[in-house]
This record gives sequence, structure tokens and C-alpha cells, in this order.
Amino acid sequence: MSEPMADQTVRTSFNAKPRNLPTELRRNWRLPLVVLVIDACHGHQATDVQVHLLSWMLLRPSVRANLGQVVRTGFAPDRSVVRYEPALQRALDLVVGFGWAERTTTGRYKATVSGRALANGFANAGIFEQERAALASLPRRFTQTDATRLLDTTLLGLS
Amino acid sequence: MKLRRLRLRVSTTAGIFGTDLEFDGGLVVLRAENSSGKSTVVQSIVFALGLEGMLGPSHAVPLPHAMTDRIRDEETGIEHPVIESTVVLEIENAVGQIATIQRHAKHVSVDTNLVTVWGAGVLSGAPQGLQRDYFVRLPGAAQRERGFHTWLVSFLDFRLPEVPRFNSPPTPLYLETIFPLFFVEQKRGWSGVLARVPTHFQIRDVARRVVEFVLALDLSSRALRRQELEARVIELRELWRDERSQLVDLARGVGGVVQGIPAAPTTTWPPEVQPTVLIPNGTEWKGIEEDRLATAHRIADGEQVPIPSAEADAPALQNELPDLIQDLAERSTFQDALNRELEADRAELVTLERRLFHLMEEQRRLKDAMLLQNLGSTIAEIASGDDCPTCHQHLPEALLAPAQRVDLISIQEAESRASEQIRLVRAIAEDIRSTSAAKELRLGSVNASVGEIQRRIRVVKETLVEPEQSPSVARIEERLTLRRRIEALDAVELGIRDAIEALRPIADEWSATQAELAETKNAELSVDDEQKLALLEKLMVEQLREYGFQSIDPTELTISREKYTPSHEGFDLGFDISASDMIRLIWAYLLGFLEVARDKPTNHLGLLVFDEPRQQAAADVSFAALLRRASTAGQANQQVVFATSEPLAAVQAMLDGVPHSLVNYAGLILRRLN
Repeated sequence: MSEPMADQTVRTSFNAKPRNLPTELRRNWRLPLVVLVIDACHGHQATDVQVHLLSWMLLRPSVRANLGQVVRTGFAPDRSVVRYEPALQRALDLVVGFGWAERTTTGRYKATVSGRALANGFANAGIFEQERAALASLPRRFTQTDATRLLDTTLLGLS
Repeated sequence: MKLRRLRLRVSTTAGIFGTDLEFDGGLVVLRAENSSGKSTVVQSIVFALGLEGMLGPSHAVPLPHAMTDRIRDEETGIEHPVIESTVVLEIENAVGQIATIQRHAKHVSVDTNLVTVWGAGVLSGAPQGLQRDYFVRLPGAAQRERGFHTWLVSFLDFRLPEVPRFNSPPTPLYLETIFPLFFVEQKRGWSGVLARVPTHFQIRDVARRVVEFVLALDLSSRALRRQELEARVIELRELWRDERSQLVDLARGVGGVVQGIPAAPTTTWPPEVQPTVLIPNGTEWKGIEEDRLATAHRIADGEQVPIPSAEADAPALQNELPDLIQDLAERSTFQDALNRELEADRAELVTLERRLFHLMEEQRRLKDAMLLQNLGSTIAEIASGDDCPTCHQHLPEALLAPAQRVDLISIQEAESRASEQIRLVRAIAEDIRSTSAAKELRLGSVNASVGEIQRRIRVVKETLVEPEQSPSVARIEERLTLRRRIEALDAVELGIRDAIEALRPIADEWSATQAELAETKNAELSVDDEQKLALLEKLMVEQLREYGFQSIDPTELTISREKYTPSHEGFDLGFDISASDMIRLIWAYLLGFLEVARDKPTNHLGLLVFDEPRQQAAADVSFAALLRRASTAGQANQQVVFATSEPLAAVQAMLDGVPHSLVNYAGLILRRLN
């Protein structure tokens, strides 16, 4: 029987277990969704406000389910419309980096040909069904005017 | 099915036009010049059978203008407007029953979607007998009792499988999808082997389903059997639920819950632990047998002494009263505690449901992410690539990455975790629901017992102020209550025994049905199926040699075991064969089905109708070989009808020595009748 190795120093190392991540923070889910959002806006291009607002609405199931109604009539006074989302800003940068959108001279994001092809491919593959159905319920493509109207607190009687 | 006779009638101001045809068995060649109306004959048969849906989604009458608009008098050359036109078709089924079908192509007052049926050979001179009207080409024509195709399916003794559709509930396989294997009409029928099977009914894999049905492949009959079994599973669930509900209601009457009978049928019955009813007893639950025994003892003890007088009973009642009051207080406290527990359960359920909602949303997104990974190489880059496309620095998967690199679990693993979480949350929620239900029941029982104690207190107090010599009302009431209780408990015990027995045959049938259902899910070809397809392949290759097929060596052609269509080296035949060879292939394929039916049990009608089979300048020798081959139908009690505009002399030469019947029209088929 061997002696216990009392005099030897044993190095131990720990590897962190892989972590889970919500899908809205995963680039391989969020980036295509951002492409879908940009493509759904008027002229297949969108301002930061449009992207953040439409993205925020699509991420909330209760709003997504009634998107057409919400865009038409607005939100209840005590419901938040949008919040700044750093992850979305990062996703927009990457969408441009991957060539699915480009920045126009007016600072908008415009879907490129490959971006539009990607967005069109979602239907055939059955991806983003609820999001696409919500966007299809809008009377027309989402415009900056729509975004401005949704954010106009004077309409809500709050100022 | 055999065609027996066809009558076409066109009414004009100048008189009646029409024709009568009689069809023999075996090979029937209907010969007439081009544009003389022989396609009208074929289309009229399709029209009479209400099958114009096989030609396309249009609801227009699919007959030429001579039947619907203007008809030319061959003798005078004058065209006359059509006032009315009618098609009458006499058919015979496999067991010799004859029916006559009438449908108007144009009528001043009768809808063209109305079909009249007589159960006799009216055109052959049989008495008309009972006449029934049906509707066709309207919703329900294939499923409702007065739908014509419902009648036709029954006449043909078809058991049509239910088939899945895109974006709609399943439907029976429509006759319009099946008949293109028996009828090839001139305009659209020769474009491809199974290209003519209509797709506008939105049936998934319609061509495959049709072949499976016509060849009566076990796959098709398995699908049919699966439908029957799935329907029976639903019935058995309901029967089980009804039996269980009866016992639950009975148990509720004594404040109890049923234990040991699952909500849905099980394969093992009765279970090892006998089902029972549990009855709340303070903070515990006791079995019904225990409750009954205790009640029986109390009755026995009480009946050993006669009912005492109010005076004699007073001391005992005075001792009982404080105990009752104390008991009432304890039960009221217990009531409050139960109400608070139930409130807490409800709040927890709301939280769990919210969590479940978010988990399911997350799962849906993860499934989308998994689909995105399969979408194409571009997406795969963002899924697996580690470098930023612009600066080529490390690109973490997370959009908001911590300072140091952190490993993330894959999408697939995240989805599995989400699925597990959903299962867990559902299990917890279900547990809370069922314990809440039990607590509700217990609360009901406690409420009932509180009421009983209050009544008992009232009766005791009343007895204590009753005249001394009157019988103790409290004791009388006590005994009556105990008797009622034991009767109710007896009824529940009997109910348990009855339920166990009643559920036994349901469980047995459930077990057998589930086992058979598992077998029907086998999607492989059976030995019989393989034999039928091999025979079809052999017959097709044989015929192609006879017809002079040249584009590819016929022995290299097979029948695809996935699509059931002719294929070469695993590919569908299309542009790699000549146009005339495609025609030969269609002959060989469709005639192959007819010939398989001679040796194997199938759902083939035993009828084949080709309108102008000699397409694409197929050689004389090929056509002659086709006629010879088709003539063997007579020996097998089958019928093949060819409508052709080949020159009479050529047709007669090709038919020399071949069993057949030739119907030749020298001029227009639709002519003025005397």
C-alpha cells in the first residue's frame, strides 16, 4: 500500500459550467429578428427609434398578439412603450457588419439585398411565425410617423 | 366499375341532337375524326360522375360548346343555340349492381350541380324504380348523405382514407384525385405520369396517397385502421371518464375523494392497490371502510339502549354541549386555515402560469434559433463563427458579453433545458391544482361538519328545555343522521365495486387498441406492398419493351419506393426521355396498375379510359402493341376504352386478330335524332 502523498502540492483548477442565455441576448436568434424588423419598416429601412420600438413590441407577447390594434390606438397611459436596449444596439452593429443592412447617409438602417432575401426566407422555413403574423396584421409597413405617434405623450394626456 | 351505356341529348329550337353509345367489356375503341366529338364522350363521362374537379378548380361545365352553347347540324351546316343538354350514364359495379346517372349540362330550371340516380339500368330498358337526387361540386358532396360522391363511394365500395391537408383539417381522399389513374383526357392528361393528379385540394403528398389507395397498399389500409383506432381511443377515454365521474359524484355526496382511479384509461386494471374513497377526518383522511365501520359501531352502541327521555338524557347532553362548542371552534379555525392555504395555492398558480408562459415563449424562440441554424451557410456563420466580420476580433455569442470569455450552452441544450423546465412547472402546477381540488373538497366537508355541529348544538339545547318526559330529540336525530350516513357510505362502496368492474372491459380494449395503434404507425412497406410494387415495375418494363421505348434501357427503370413513380437511377423521369417515350411510359404505368389488379387485391376500378392515347406521334407499331396489350382486359373482366381519331383502316388493321369492340363514327357524334 502506498504512503499518502502528504508532501505533494496538488494543483486544482475549476472550469466554469457553461451558462444559459436568454434568446434575446443570443446573436444567432436576435440578429435575424433585427433583419426582419428593418425589412418590415417602410422602404425596408428604419431609424433607431423605429427599430427599438418595433423590436420592443415584438418581444412582448401581449403586445405582439395585438400589434395591429396597438399601433393603431397606442398604449395605455401606464404601460411602457419602449426602453433603451444595449443588446439591440449591438445587434444592429452586427447586422450591418454581416452585410444584411447598411447605414444610409441619413443615418437610417436599410436592408440590403441579402438582408431582404434572408427575411423572405423565414416564411419558407417556418421561422418567426408569430412575429411575422404580427407584422402582417399592420395595415401598412411601420413608419417613423407611426413610431412618433406611439411615443407622443401629449396624445396620452400625460403632458 | 364498368361503363355500360351513355346517352347525350342536346335540345335546340331545331330539334333534338345526341347519341347513344353502348360499351362492351374488354377493349372498346371509339373511333371518330378529329373535332367530331369523341372527347365530348370522354368528358361527358367525367361530367356525369361529377369528377370535373380532376381537371382543375374551375366550376365551369367541362363540356364543349356543342353541349352548352351552339351545336352544328352536320346535314345543313347550320349552328343552333343549345336550350338544354343532358348526360345520362349507366354504370355497373364490381358486384353487378347497375345504376343510371343523369346530370344536366345546361337547363333552364335545373341546377347543373344536381345529379339524379336510379338504381337500375334505365338506358338498358329496366324500369326506373326509385329515383334519388344528389348534389355535386358543392361543399359536402363527398361527406354529406345527399352528396353525390358519398353515394358513388358507396356504390364503388371504396373505403377512402382520411388524409392530411395543408392549413386545413384532414379530409377523405377525394375521388377527383383518384380518377386520373383511370381516366386520361386529351387536353391535360398526357403531360406527365402523375402530373394530372389535382393539387388544388391542398392534400399533402396527394400523388403518393392516391397510389397507396389504388394499389391498396398496407400503408393505406394501415392509415385507415389508424383513423378507426384513434376514434375508438377517444370513445374509450369518454367511457372511462363517464364511469369515473359517476363515482366521483357519489363520493362527493359523502364529502370524499376517489383515490386509485386515473383520469384516463390504463392498460393494467384493476390496479394492485384497490381504488377507494377517502373521507376527511379532522386533519387526516380515512378510508371509507374505516368511516363505515366507525359509523356502524356508533349505530350498534346506540341501539343497545332505548331512546331516553329528555330528563334522563339531560346529564349526558350537558356534558356533550361544551365538547360540541369546543369542536365547533376548532373546526372554524381549521376552516380559516384551509381558506388561507387555498388562497396561497391560487397565488402560486398565477406565478407558475406566468413562469410557464415565459418559458414557452423562450422555447419557441429557441426552436426558431434551431431552424435558423439549418437555414443556410450564411446563418451558420453567425451561429458558429467566432470572428467579427469587420474587425475579425473574437465575437462572443452573447450580445452583451462580460469582460472575460464565458462559455455558453448551445441552443439545443438551452431548448432541452427549457423543455425540462416547462415539464417541471407543468407538473408543479398540476400538483397544486389537484391538491387545491382536494383542499376544496375538504373545506366543503369541514363546512358541512360545521353546519352539522351547529345543528347538533341547537338540537341539544332544544332537548335540554323540552318537557322532561318527552323522548330526547337529540338522540333521535343522532340515530337518524347515523343511519343516513351509513346508507350513503354503502352506496359509495357499491359504487366502487361497480366502477372497478365496469372499467375492466374498457381497460382491456384500451390495451389492445394501443398495441394495435403502435403497429399502425409503422411506415415501412410490408411484404405484400413490396410484391405489388415489384409486379407493377415488372409489368411496366415488359410493356415498355413491347411499345418500343428507346430513351433508356427499360430494364433500368424502377418504381420509386418513395413516390411510386417510374424512376431511373433514383431520379424521376422527365426531360431525359423523348416526348413519345413519355407517352409510352404513361401507357405502361397506367395499364400496369390495371394489370396488377388482376393478380393482387387492389382498389382499381378495373376500368381505364384513354382519350387520344396516340400522342406525340408515337409510332404505329407502338400503338398497335398498346391495343394488343389492352385487349387482354376482356379476359380479366376489365374494360379499357380508347377514343382515337386514327384513320379507320389503320385502326382496323391494328385490331386485326385482337379481341375488341369498335364503335366507329363516320361524322359528328352529336347528330340530329329523329
